[in-house]
Amino acid sequence: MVVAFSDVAFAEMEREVWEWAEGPKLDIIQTSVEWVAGEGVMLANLSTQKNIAAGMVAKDDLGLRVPLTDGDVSLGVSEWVSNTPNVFGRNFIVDLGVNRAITRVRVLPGQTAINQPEYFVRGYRLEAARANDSDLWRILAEAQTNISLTIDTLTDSTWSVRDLDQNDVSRQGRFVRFTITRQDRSNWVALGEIEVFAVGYEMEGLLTGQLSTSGPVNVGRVQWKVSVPGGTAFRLASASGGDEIPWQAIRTMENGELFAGQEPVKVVAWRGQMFTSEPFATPTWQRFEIEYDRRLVASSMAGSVLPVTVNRGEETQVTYRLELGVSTDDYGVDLLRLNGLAMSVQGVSINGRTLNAGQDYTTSQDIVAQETRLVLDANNRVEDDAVIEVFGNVRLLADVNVIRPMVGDTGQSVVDGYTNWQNGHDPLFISQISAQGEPGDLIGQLQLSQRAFSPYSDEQISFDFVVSRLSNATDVLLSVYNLNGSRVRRYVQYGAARAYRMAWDGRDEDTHIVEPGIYLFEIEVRGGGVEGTRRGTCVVAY
Amino acid sequence: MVAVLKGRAEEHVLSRIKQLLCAVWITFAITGPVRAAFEIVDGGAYAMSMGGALSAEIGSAETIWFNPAASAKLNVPHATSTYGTLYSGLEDSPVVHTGAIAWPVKSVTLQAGYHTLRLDPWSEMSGLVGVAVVLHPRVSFGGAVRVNAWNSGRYGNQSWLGSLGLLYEVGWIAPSTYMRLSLVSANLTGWYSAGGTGRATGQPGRSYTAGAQLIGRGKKVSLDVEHDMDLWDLRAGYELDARWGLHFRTGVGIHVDDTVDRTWHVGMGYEWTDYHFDYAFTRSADIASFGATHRLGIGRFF
Repeated sequence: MVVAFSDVAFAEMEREVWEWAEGPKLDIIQTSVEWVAGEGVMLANLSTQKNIAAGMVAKDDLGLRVPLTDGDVSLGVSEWVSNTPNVFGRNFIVDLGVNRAITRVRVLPGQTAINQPEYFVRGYRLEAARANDSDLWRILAEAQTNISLTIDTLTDSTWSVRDLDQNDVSRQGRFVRFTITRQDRSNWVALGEIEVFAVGYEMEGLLTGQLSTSGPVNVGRVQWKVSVPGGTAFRLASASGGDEIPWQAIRTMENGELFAGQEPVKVVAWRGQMFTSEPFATPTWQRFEIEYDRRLVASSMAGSVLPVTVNRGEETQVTYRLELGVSTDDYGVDLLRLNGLAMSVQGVSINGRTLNAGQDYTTSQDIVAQETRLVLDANNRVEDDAVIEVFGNVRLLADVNVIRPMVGDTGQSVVDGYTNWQNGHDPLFISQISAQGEPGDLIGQLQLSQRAFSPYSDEQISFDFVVSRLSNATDVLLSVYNLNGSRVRRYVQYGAARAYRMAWDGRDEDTHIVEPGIYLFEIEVRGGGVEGTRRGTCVVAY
Repeated sequence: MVAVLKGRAEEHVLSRIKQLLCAVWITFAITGPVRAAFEIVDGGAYAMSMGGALSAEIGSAETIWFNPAASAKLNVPHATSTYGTLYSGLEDSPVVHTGAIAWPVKSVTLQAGYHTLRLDPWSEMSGLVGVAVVLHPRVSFGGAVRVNAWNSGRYGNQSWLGSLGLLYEVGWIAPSTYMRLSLVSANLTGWYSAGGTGRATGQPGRSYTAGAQLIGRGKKVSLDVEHDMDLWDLRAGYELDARWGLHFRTGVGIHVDDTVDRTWHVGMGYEWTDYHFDYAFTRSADIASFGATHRLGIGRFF
């Protein structure tokens, strides 16, 4: 699969481009990848000396973890000692994480066996499998007359996977099993390490780098071109700043997505990761590009909210205050998003001047995205330093509700073809509201827009409710039944603890308008370790 | 001479039936047609405890909702009334009232009934009048006109519909087993109109019901199979006549259209002099979480 790359350029936007097919860049940090001229960046080939079992999980036939992949054979904690002469049939399975083209297996003795050489394995069997299933094991090597402390399929000629010319070839598999099939009388066994060697590509590789600009910029889209064959994957993340990036906490981006870190910014760090679960397949990363705009929407922004503490689940009026620093070099602001706050806006003012709803501005709220959006008309766009205040009602359920302001400009959108939102994600500018008190009912504050409605008049019935006490996102279902018990419609939303709005348009699953009458509805929350329902009735009439 | 008198008497009875049907027709033509678009007329507590399989039953006025011919065999007048709550697990359960009366007058039985279903702002009602006559010791015939209406404040709908029924006494098919068969055709014709700004929603499909009942040794088994254009409805019931006037009943209903909906029923009855008291418990197997439907009924033989 080849991920498409847009070549459209826009007037004001600059771009930094990395053409990986041209060769490596000096300021790029790379791990387990290699450049192929004319192709791009790929996962590096495995070294024949690399023990790919190191650090992987090894378990014995009882399912207990054993210290046979820790790179150590010292006495005690880093070796496995039978403690009994009866070890016939005991086995150890190493999970390599993904399928590998295995070429060699080496079993090292534990320190106990090195000290007392009679602790060796007389007979053994080595097998590989793609799945840990008894029917799928394939033999790699097998010997009943071993006299070496170290078992190495490269030197003892028991490797059983060969081509027509009797050359050793690889066996693909994720699991390697070592079974003791024979022992001498009264001898115990002490194992130190199971090592596996393979050919093909590294399992994972990464590149990290950064974009540095001479002045603060508003970063736009981040795009790349990469071929991703089956069994492989590519991920990219980016963040503000160049040092000590907590990559594990940063969300993976979609190709072409807007940069989501703090802006304006001088340094943007990025990290590309390549993965494969097949031995001979690798992603090929060909091109990478970051768009940015030296012309900012606003030079600075600082947000605050009052009150900072509300009662959980109760509708509360809040005021969000955004101080904007806008110079003549900036685009100016006529678009505002308050991410993290789905507010039913009651009023907006700029520098204390109250605006008229619908005339001076329009607002909308996205309950699912938990966001409030504000659009100022042309006469009220902010082109100088200003304070925008937004008043409205919210219902908050999470302990901490972080509000991230984003500003944009319609003029910039027209020039570049998309709105390059400038994110106010600087921790100093982030405002948050804490919700206190006991969580309410799992499904609470259920309100119907109306009891009876007519689908022929394009009416619908909406169900507003609040889901509390939900720690993880899960399915929230609305089902409608007729009085015979037949389900006529079902809606599903996926979400966490928050306010919900679901609506029924009076039609069945085939979009036919249902017969007039009384209908039963059921709102369910399933999964996440909790279950709850609310039921009631509504009426369709026409 | 006797034969001539008998012939005159039969002509007299048939003439009265014709007059009665004409009167019913004219009455509803004058009062205006009404129709309920979404009807939940399903009889009283006795009928529902038998799973709604009542088209071949003759011992209750509640049969008028299932077969207009069935009450022809009643020897004495009978009236019943039922109160019920649908889906009791809801905070606001719909409420139903049902009443039925069957009154033998000489060679015919007059029958009437009403049914209401209410849940604000929805109000639905049905009225029924009919007549049944024994044409032959084994054959009874009946006809009824049902009036339906619903109102939801802004909208309303009205209609009337006719139905015809037959009852056939097969007789003793075994030394201790008596059999009876029935055939009903409902929603034969009708007239519909909308109230306010509403829309007339069309005629419900004409339905045909075949029923059977077996009686023997204090037990009764009833089975009804109903079919119209879109659905099959299978209803079955069983009654055990215990001692001291107690009756235990159970039933099942399977409704098949785009989906299969199943309900099961249990109930009991108690007879005390001319009165009887009935209870029916109905639960949908598919939406059991909405709670059960409870019906309490009282009836009297006069």
